[in-house]
Amino acid sequence: VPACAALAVVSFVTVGLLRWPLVGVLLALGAAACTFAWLRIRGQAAMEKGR
Amino acid sequence: VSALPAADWLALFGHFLLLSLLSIGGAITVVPDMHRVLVSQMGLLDDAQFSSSIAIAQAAPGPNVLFVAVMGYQAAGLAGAFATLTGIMLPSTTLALAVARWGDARREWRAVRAFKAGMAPLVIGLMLATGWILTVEVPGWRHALLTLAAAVLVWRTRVHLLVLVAAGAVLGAAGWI
Repeated sequence: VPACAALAVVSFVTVGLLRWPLVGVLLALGAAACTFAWLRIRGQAAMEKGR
Repeated sequence: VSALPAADWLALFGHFLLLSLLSIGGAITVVPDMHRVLVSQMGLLDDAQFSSSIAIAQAAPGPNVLFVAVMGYQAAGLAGAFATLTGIMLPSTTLALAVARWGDARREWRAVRAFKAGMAPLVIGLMLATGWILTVEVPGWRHALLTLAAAVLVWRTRVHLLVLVAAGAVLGAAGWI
């Protein structure tokens, strides 16, 4: 949850407040968010496999 | 409504083609970038026109994405409406038709799950940014209070959206906003 909240806040600040172009924000932040999610899912799968 | 030079029309069309591919979570999530281009960069609309385009289309029956056509019409007449609506619809519709079955068949893949999970918080942030831009650009404080009240009511209660739209219309007609 903290990571999700942080991602939502960063996208709000960069696009809503700083008015950065969306394409750059989505490519950079989206790639980071998807990589983070992928690692979390892989970690969860490894934990379930270890039980 | 004035005619747009061909180069500007193409720039408008091209930008909406790009936004179409970025509109994860719906066209409403790319409103901040539409504002950046139409109002700040190209100067085709002012803040009031931009906000009213969305308000009119959202209050009217039909798909919400039609606000894009209203924006384009206010910016450059029918040619503008064609550029914005075709631009926002064409790539995303084509992509959805092409990859929907592919994605559905692979919804358990780690990469597909990670994409959905990773983009969700960004969509929330972009929707907040949309609300912020529509609220903060209009002078005064009453509309901001009404926006906040509507957001809390939608979040915490089951009040029908049409009731909120009607309440907003009544307050506007009464001159409170």
